[in-house]
Amino acid sequence: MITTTSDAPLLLRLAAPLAWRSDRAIAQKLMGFAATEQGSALDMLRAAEREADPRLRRLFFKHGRDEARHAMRFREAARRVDPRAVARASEAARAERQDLHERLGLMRFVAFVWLSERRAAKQFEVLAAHFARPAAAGSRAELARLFADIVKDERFHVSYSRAILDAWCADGREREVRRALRAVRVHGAWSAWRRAGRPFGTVLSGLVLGVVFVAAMPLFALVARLTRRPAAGWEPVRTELASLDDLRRQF
Amino acid sequence: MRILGISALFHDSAAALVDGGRVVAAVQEERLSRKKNDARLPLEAARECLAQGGLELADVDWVVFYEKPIAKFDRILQTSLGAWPRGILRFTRAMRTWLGDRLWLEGRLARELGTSADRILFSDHHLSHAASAFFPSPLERAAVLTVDGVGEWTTSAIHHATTGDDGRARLATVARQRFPGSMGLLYSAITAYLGFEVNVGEYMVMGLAAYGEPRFLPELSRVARLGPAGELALDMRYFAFHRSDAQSFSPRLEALLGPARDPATPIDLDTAEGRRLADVAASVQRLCEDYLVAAAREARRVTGEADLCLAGGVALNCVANARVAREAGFDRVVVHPAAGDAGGALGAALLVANALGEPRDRATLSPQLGRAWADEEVRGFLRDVRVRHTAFDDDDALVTEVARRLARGEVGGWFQGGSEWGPRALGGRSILADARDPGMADRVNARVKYREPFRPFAPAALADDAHRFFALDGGRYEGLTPHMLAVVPLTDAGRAELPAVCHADGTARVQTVDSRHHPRFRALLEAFRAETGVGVLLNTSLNLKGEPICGSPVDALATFDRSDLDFLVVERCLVDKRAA
Ligand SMILES: [Fe+2]
Ligand SMILES: [Fe+2]
Ligand SMILES: [Fe+2]
Repeated sequence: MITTTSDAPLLLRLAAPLAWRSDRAIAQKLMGFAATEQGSALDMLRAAEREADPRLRRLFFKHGRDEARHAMRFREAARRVDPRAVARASEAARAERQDLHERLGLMRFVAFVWLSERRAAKQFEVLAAHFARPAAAGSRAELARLFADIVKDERFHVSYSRAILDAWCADGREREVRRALRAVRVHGAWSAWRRAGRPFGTVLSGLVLGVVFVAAMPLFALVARLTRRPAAGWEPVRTELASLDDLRRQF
Repeated sequence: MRILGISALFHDSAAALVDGGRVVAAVQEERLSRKKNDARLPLEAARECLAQGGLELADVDWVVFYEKPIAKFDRILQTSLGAWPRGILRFTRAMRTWLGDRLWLEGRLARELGTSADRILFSDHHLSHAASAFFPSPLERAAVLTVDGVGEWTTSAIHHATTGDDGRARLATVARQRFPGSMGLLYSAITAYLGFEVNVGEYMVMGLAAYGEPRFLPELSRVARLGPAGELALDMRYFAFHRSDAQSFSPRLEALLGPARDPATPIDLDTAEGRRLADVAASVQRLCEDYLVAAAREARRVTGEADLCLAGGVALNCVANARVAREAGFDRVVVHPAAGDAGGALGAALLVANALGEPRDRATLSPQLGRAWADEEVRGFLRDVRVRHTAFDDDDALVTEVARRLARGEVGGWFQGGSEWGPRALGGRSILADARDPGMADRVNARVKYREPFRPFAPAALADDAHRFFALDGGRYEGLTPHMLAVVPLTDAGRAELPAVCHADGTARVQTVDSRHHPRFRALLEAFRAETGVGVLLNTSLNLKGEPICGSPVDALATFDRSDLDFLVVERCLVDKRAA
């Protein structure tokens, strides 16, 4: 059996009213969830396609369908809360597949599924409670119902992935399973760290380039403006890429 | 010789494989990654193409990128500097992308694809487009016109394609127009002005145009001056795309045409405001058509050729294509099915094949160049995941059953053979319905597509039946309609019998189905004709709104799951909604 300490969702509970303060913020947050769910749908469906074991195939497929449906329900809910915010955000938050079944291998993939589904289930439980609160301010029966429905599916995702891990442990592969869980946790921390590192680098290089543009570029800009050929009409040319040399050139 | 073509890093990335001059496979990355208009390096698509050819990357002789990156960088740098001190944000963002990444494209391609840098070649953006249109065509010589937003510097080009006595083809650019004089960028700016997403919403502008009058042409002629030979000059004070990534038009354009539409406000054609927007759409559409016709005439004058090949994003404007076929004075007009940038991957590969002496393949190009799934694979998958289905043992029984269901008014998904090359579903990844039913467009919309009401659905018609319903003017559109690339008027019989695919102005973007298409799709249309007397079906792509067209059977099932389709056919398996 696998045992882990469950981290208390205190922080989540405290943060909820802040993150979910206005219609617009709620709609955006729901669209964010939709993108995440859609992303995991893509990964689970691809896993079902790649997996050879019929039983796992069926579970991954069901899981993928659930997530795709969740994505759709989140999008619809967001649209009902604030259609304008959704229209503006529409194509911005698009889901991406991580190809984890292929990249991690089966055992680490299932470990990853279990850990991340457990986190999602916890988060959605908190939100179901948040929106079900009797206090007038945060109460939204529709969202409470939505999260409660989705939590049911998430619990199934937690339990089937855990059952697979347990079965492997019972097969005498407990050490492998533990190693897989550890690897996935470390991997998760590493990619979170990388995300945190990037914006700072982006801001810094942006500043440097901005300074360059303002300070050093006027001269070049003038030259660019003076040498710019007026662009209008057909200009006769003769361009043919007939040799390897032509084709190797990058300009 | 094996050549892998790559187009990427703008929008719609794709890979294509050419072996011994023959097209083996071509796939857009979005069909595999499920990210619409995916622009990343098409690593999955490349892998897929190689798998279809039974090859590894080590077997590939050359990898060719569809444009010249440093020439493009030169344009971006000069444009940013020309806008100084405005455009600082665009400058810093562009420099970061280019200095950090794009300038070292050769190394990156080699690294990520897993090959060596000395096997990497670079085509020219417009020559890639031109090659995609000419080499797969049946023509020995032709004028080739390519029109898009912008490549490196070029926005439109006239090329001359000839074949020597030795059978070798030659393709050379003979005239070009340069950035910023661009019909593609003008059309996109108006697309954004009308509240649609650039590079996605251009079709909506074309659909909306049918409801309007081009009464803004005088205003637009101040924004874009069009000469008699198709010379185009934009007044840059109306635009912002040269100094901003996020904004394509300036407040001056709004002062001229009225306020831009907020994307969140729906277009209501019953209001004056809705009609104004339709009129703006009609005006830019008319200008685009006039431009394309004038440029095509110029291409004929410059090259002296009787036939025309057309490619580039603007060649996806099916209304303009049809006008070129009618008015530009060519005998034949041929358009590549993936006329947008995705098509550059295949064009670049064919161009290299020709330059290095490979023979030209004269077989008719199938539009289904992506991966296909064997019937047994599909059955095995459906069995494993326990989706209830009926497996048909022969095609006759399958198409008879499907035709009967469609004639009854059911709406179904249809997945057969390889995935389509280009933006249109042509019977490989389609949603099909009865075009005779006047309520069908609304039904398909309500159940799965959720399209704006001004975007029409297209018909697929048996080639030998199409003349009854569509004014095809002999063979005038033969190089366009097999890939759904021309909008033509319906005949009286067509208007009477096919209300679901007749647009507001009495036209349709018809696909004529012939021997190049999947045999099972033809058989289905024949079965439907046997059942109803009409060899035409409503044919729209198999996907939900905002998602790319399905690539694999799993995508199709996930789409089926979230839609209200009555049934889904994958190869010879039929899944019924009630049973699923
Ligand atoms: Fe979920
Ligand atoms: Fe889940
Ligand atoms: Fe292009």
